[in-house]
Formats: sequence, C-alpha cells, structure tokens
Amino acid sequence: VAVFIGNDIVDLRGESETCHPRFARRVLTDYEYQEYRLSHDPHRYLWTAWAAKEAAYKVVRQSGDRRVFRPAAFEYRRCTGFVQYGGRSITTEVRAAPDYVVAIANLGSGQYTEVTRVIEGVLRNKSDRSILPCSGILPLESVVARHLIATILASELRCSSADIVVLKDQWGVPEAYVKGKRSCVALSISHHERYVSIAIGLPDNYPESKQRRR
Amino acid sequence: VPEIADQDVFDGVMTVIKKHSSDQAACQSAGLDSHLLDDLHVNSARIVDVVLDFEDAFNISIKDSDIDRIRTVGDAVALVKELKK
Repeated sequence: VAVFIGNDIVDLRGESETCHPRFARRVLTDYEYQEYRLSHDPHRYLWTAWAAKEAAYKVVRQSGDRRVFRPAAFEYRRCTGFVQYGGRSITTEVRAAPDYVVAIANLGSGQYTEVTRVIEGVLRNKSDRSILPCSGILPLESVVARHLIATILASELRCSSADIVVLKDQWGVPEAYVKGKRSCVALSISHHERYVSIAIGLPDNYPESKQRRR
Repeated sequence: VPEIADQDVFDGVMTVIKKHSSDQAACQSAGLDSHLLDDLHVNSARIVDVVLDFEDAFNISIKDSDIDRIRTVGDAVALVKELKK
C-alpha cells in the first residue's frame, strides 16, 4: 500500500507582484483564469492555485510520472479541493495564512502530517546549523527541512532522529532512510523565502508507526 | 535575417536568467552545463518568467511542451537558436 505526498509553500511577501505580465495567463487554465479575474484578491488566488498545482505535480512525479512541471496542465478546483491532471483527481488541501499559502496534495492510502515553520525560527541561532547533519553541504533551508523531518519521523517511528537520513533520488524526490534502510514513508519538501514546509505521508499499516492521525 | 551568434544568444539567455536567479554568484560562473534549478537556483515559478522573458527578448514563441527541454543554460541557448531560425 503506497502513499504519495506533495507540498508547496509560497511566501506571499517574498513573491512580490513583479512577475511577468503574462505569467497568470500562462500558468492558469481558462477556468482558473476566470476565477483569478473575478477574485477580490487576484494575487492570493494566483499563488494559491500555483501552490496547489505544484503540490499535485510533486505527487504525480513521486508516483512515477517524471515529466517536467507544466502548470497549465493542472487545474485547481477550489470548490472541490481537487487538482485535475490527465483525468486524475488529486486531493489537495490548501491552508492560507496572512503571509503565506501552503498546499498539500496526496494520493494513495495513508495519513499525512504537515509542518510549516519560519526558517530562521527553527534554529535558535545560525550557529546551531553546525550541529545538524548535512550542514555545510546543503543550503540552510534544506538543512532545516531535514531537521524537521528527522525530528517528526523519529517521534512517529519511536527511534532517534540520528537514525534518519533524508536523501534525494535521481529525480529529486526526497526519500527517508531509517537505520540505513530505505523507508516507504513519503516525503515532500518546499521552501520559499522565509518559510519551509515539510509533508510526511505514512502508508496505512506502516508497522513501526504510531499512526498519528490528523 | 542573419543568424544570431552563439555568444549573443548565450549573453541574452544569461541576462534573463540572472534577473530571476536567487544566486547571482552562481550566475557569474555559469556555463552551458549549468542547471537552472539546481545550480542557478531559479525556482519553478521563475522558470515561467524566464520563458516569458525569452519570448520578449528574442521575439519568439515558446510552447509549453518546449519548456520541458530547458533544463540547462545550453538547452535554453539551443532552443532559442532553433526558434530563431
């Protein structure tokens, strides 16, 4: 039993309205573009749709479709909570905060948990970075994401966070290794400007899991 | 119409990419093999802006299906040259 998970976060302050004038028309479907034009807050609508589409794309990629992201091939239906892609309906939850929007898409059978943090807020100070695995190799946002994943997974699996390593496969999809063995836990990482968001999908009947339910 | 020189295309491509990259230092040393997402840190939303700016800068039209082909600076240069013919 597999679960696939994808997330995407957009820092609305960082994503200023400086994008190309044809950006919205290019990335939105006709249906979405109509919603965008009628929206009382087009900026927020645009980036909500973008986050939902990219989260759904990550699910599709994780499930084996390796095509490059074509935003207009995905259609976000706010009223149903689905993103449509190639005849598939991908459940996509959107959470909106004043400064950011985060979308979490999933397919398959299982539960998921999602955490969003201010990057700098995760570490008490930047010097903490030196004690984290992968520090010095990866950018700060990636280190923070891995730290969050290891902490949460360690709690779920009742092991030490030192037992958990997050690597990316050849397609850039993150994978969790627990005590050296590749886990069937699904992971997704997104960061943008001030924020980092991680999503963890646990398949039903995952033996070591406490099966935290949301 | 005279064929656009490789160096001119490269320079034009890099001007656009620099505008949307979050790593200006990486752009300074970028070459044809530099990967837009991994090496030059152009995120997926900014890739769309890159494509739209290519269209404006080179007076071309890039189909969504062609965006798949733009992974490196060299891919972008090749695509622009192909569409300028």
